[in-house]
Amino acid sequence: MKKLTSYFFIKILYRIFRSYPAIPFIVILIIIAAIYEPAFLTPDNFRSIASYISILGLVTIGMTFAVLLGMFDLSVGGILCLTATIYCIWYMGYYYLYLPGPGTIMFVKELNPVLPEALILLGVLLIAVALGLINGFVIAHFGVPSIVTTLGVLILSRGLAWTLSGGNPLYTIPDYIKYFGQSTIYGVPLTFLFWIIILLLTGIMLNCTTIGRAIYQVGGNPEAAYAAGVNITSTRIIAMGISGLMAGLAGLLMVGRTGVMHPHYGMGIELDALAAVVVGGISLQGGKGGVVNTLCGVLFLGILTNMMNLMAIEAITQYLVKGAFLIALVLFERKLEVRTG
Amino acid sequence: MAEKNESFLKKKISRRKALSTAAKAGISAIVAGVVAGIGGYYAGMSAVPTKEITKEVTKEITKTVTKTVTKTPTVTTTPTTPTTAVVITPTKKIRLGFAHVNLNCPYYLAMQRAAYDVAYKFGWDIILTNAEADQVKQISDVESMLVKGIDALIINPVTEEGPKSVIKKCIEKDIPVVVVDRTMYGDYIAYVGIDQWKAGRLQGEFIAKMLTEKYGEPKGFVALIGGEAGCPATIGRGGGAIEVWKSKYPNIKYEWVGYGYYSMEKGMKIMEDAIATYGEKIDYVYAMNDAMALGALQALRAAGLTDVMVSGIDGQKEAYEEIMKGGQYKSTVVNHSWEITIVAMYLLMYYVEKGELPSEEWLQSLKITTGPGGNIAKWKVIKEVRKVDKGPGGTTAYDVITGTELVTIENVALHYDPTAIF
Repeated sequence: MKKLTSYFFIKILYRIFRSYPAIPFIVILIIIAAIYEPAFLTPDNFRSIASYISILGLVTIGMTFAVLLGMFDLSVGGILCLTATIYCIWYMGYYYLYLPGPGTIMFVKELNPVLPEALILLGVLLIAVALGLINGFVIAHFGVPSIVTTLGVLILSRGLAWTLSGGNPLYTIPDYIKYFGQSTIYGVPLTFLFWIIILLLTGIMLNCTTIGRAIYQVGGNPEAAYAAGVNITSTRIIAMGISGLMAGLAGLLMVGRTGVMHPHYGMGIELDALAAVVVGGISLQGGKGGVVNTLCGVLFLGILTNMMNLMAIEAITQYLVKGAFLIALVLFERKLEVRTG
Repeated sequence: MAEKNESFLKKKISRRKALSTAAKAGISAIVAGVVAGIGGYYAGMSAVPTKEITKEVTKEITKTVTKTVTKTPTVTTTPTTPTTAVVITPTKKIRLGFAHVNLNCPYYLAMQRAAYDVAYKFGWDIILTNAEADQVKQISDVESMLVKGIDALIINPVTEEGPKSVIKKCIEKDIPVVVVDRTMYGDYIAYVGIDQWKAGRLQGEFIAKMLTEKYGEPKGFVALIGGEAGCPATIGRGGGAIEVWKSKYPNIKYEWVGYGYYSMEKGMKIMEDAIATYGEKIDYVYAMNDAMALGALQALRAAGLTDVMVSGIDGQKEAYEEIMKGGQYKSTVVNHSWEITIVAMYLLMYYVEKGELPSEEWLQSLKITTGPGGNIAKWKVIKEVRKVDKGPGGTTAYDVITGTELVTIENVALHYDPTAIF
């Protein structure tokens, strides 16, 4: 009799498991959710999941770039928040210089002149990229550990966002960004489509361009990459720039989805993104993984959150279930790596 | 030939080894998944309000709440009893969604606890979600509740305008929305909460009175500890007091010494820094909630500043205890989160049964029990019912103002209940 392991489909399954260890877990989640709550399989629910994960997903793409180079980007939450704030105050045409305390008069400064909307969009995204580039420059040029640098930028940008908004929620949001954040096309949320497009583009970039291959090289083995003539410094700077850009885009999407700008936006999103990256199967040592892993990780987190709400799991128990699932998944990945690697 | 054979065999063996490990890993994955799945399924079951299980759930919640708040073990829960003019008994079994803002402090946990208690009493199904102070998550929470199918929604919104898109969806499905604790832009049948500005004004007047007693005239320096920048509660509570001082008592000086995020440790830290900066100059500390005020009190005691007076807001049990001692802690303002939740649930129950908003008299006659001890609240729970046109499509809605009552050493005995949950 033929051995079980020599069957073709087992081999294929094994390959898939090894590259994308989150897939079996996602399938299990979907099965549990579908059995327990048939409403899980309705289009409405998929729409809800899709629009929830697209914002976290954008941030996670940026984090993927950082992690592929063996770095962390903790600044994404701050950059996201700052981008959203600057976008809103630029659109409103004035900003709060400083808020001495609630209940007292705020110093409102007029921005002169108010720029056309397209320029504002471009401008805030440039700011996001610039913050990312600063991250990258400090890390690559001065050799400061990424976790410290990005933590600094996180606090700095969040502080700036709070100063500029005076800590207030801002409600003056242009309609087109709300439309973009809230409407659907053929039943698919626009934000989700946007995320998938970005995912495809970054996938192509990572696999088919010089800079993409350089990221894998530098992440996997910097010395070898250096010997092969790859510019390590610029590779790192560019990757962090991309991470900043993704955070900025996520900030705009968040404003669009909620129709309000709140200085709390992006609080703790860096840890969620990092969790998604790890869950997706991207090695924290760098050089291993891709955007499909990102997709898996984000899908896993999104489905888990949605499923627990649908199953009416009590809010505090949700933390336990989530933590248990994360540990089980990471252990599973580790087992695959150790046994065969 | 032999060498070739050997290497071939080696290859074959190693391949087999790899494949067998793969199979093992696969099987272990499936087992882990099934175990996790069963775990998740049972965790899910625990929220379904069959009798025993719900009791256990509420018991657990009691434990967490009492651990953090009271440290006295209370085991059983007594559902709340209303003594009203027109007694309405819940006949419909509905599924209630509660989109909570966060579960990170006793104040919010007490709301959760009250919601479970009342839902159990009504025989309602309840889904309570935790947005973790994230507007995007709250929207998706409500969306998933809509997918699951809810008949009514209670929301504690993260931001005023943020949930607009998803609330519109609720309106389309004819789901009544009740807003608790934090204000929302509109589209609700009722808002239940305290009047933050009025609470601030009450404290402002009281602080001026205490400073007059100390100096013979209203003057002095007040250190204000904020909650969160831009948070409506901080703006109202601080702004109300400042408004009073600015218009009536210009000699009272004040300074925001920091934002403590409504937590005790942070309040203590801020007070330590403020003592280092201002020292003896401080006459009064006014924190935007009781937890921070209690933290500040500890810092003041540690620094030996025993004549600096302290005030907070919320009506936390520990604050009442401090006020009863007659020490530095002078006053607080009632803002019982569980009270708000219970009123909201009864109002919603009336709406579900009758299809209309209850009369003001019915609301006023609602008597509410405090905590697991089950004593009926001796104070007037509902202060004011305002009719506003914030209902869906500009229809009439209620703003039900609860609490908002100054508690000092004179009337603290009325409000203090050792068995209360917050």
